[in-house]
Amino acid sequence: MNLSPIPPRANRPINLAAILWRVHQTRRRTSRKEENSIRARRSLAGRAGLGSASGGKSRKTRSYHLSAASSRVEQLTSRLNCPAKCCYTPAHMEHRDDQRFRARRPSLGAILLGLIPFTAACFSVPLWDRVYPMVVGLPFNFFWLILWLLLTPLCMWGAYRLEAGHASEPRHKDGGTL
Amino acid sequence: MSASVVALAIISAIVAVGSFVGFRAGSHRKMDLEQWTVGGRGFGMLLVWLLMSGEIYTTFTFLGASGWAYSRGAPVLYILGHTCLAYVVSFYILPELWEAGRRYRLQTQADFFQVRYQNKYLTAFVALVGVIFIVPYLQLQITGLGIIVEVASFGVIHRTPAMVISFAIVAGFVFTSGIRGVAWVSVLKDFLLLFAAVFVGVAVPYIYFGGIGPMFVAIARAKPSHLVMPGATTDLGHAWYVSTVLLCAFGFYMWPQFFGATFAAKSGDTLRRNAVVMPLYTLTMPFMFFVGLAALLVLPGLANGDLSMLTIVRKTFPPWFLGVIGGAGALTAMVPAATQMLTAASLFSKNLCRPILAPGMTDRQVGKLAKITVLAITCAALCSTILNSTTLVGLLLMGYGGVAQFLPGVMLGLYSKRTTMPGVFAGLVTGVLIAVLLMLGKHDPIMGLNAGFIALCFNFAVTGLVSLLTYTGDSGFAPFVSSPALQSRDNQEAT
Repeated sequence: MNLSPIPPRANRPINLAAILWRVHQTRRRTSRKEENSIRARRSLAGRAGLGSASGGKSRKTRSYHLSAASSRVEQLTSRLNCPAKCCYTPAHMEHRDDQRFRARRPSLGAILLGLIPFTAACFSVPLWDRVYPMVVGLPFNFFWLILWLLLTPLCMWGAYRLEAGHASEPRHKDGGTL
Repeated sequence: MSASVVALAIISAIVAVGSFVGFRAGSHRKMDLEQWTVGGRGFGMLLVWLLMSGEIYTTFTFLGASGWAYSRGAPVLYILGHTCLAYVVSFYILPELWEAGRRYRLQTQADFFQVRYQNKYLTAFVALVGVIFIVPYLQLQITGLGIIVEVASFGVIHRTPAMVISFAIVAGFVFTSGIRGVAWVSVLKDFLLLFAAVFVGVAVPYIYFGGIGPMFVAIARAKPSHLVMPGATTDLGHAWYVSTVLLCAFGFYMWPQFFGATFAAKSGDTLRRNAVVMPLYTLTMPFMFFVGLAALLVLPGLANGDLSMLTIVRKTFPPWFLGVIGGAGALTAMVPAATQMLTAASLFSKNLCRPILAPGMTDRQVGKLAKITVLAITCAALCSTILNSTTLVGLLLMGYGGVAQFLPGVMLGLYSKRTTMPGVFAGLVTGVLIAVLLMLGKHDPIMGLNAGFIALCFNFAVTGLVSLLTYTGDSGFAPFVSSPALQSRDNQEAT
């Protein structure tokens, strides 16, 4: 005789939303835990770093532990600092994605700057494909395109300034963007 | 001494100096496959610039651009539009491509497809398509060399033997020097070409019309329709211009040899800065147009427009000057031909033969096979040149229609994780099939649009659709060798 108010597993209706919510909560909790532990480790390492001035045999062993701990901290924090927000995986677990290359997308500003020459030298062709007025002895269409050979580097220089700003941000420690 | 002997002697002297520079640059380095194909990845901005411009300013610029200005008129402006915009596209794609190249130690374009899609059949197909569509480009260079010798010898030497001799030299120099030799010959070639283009482009209109301005006034009076699209043609209008510029600007860096040049750079930033300044280098191109347009009024009725530049030089200047121009032209044919051979050979041996036919090959054997392939491909290109002939621009547009089909695989693959292997494979097959069918059936341009562009649109649609259907969440680059291991390998190779 079954006294339990909960129906057997097979008959229970699946509440997808509840499952997802629970999964979400668990993930948040574990990630918080990770973060806290990292914060604790980091402060520990910091304190240990201050104290490492004491000499002798203990210093040697201590600094060994310290370097191990700090590299561990670095490992963990670098994953948490990941801009793609995919790194709440605990550090002891195999994280597949961090070994893969992913391209960094150019910024919107740089793309818009690149669209200017495209509009001027390609899409607007019916507007400037004419002989008159001749400018500096050239038919207008020749003049217009040669002008854009000079103006395109200006646009791209602007885009370069935008992108170079981004490029100075640290990439992932392996060089790939994550 | 007759005029043709003087001209030919100077051409051979320039070619000899060029080959010597190439042999020298490569002779004192130990050549493994990586040194041969991507120069050990240590090229700075100047060398990359020279290498890329060496591949961009080819016989096509030299003879083809003036030829089209002569025979077609304003549609030739597409060349200015697409080269300028191709650098804009390169600004966004190349640095990331270089980054991937460094991570995975890529050497060829097909290598990129291998690490992104991890399927050896797709890789082999990419290599095959790359090799097939490099052949028209090589053919263009061979035809150019033939034209130069034919005109310079006043028709005494036939085109075919001239092509065979010059290509033997190119193949020999690819054999020994690899990409570094090519970059150094580019230096010589670029100086000559810059000088030749600007000088002839200014002098010819000045001699016959009293300046570039008066020349355009004269053309506008005599043939007003020649200066606006569709020029002397009926089907190369504005829609054709837009579609061709888009196809070529985006297809430009899909040429397999440009991937090699990209990977040879020292850093991604080198490539970005390069992209900013490159359009300025295109400024020599209009001078070629001026020569062709001058020839339109001075020498009407040439059967082949591609002959216009050299013929007007021969008519205007003394034979030794024809020799200098011819020599510059010969080098502009040889340098890109060398890189194209190099690329096609490494694609064929490394990405097509090894994975499919002989998986047990060592790197050394692949290197050897690549050198043999250089010969085979040269012969193939020579044969197809002798058997059929189109205009130089026609040949290049055919190549673009083919290689641009790599675009979805590269661009979507680089920036979107949702692009899948079946999607890219299906798209590539569709695109190449449509392009080949339209071009072989002489339906280019079709409905006022470039045939390659239409194929590319279908390619994008199929890639997107199939990718959406087959996306499973695990589709991205292959895992790479992590940094410490990579560094130890670097150290090992350095010692």
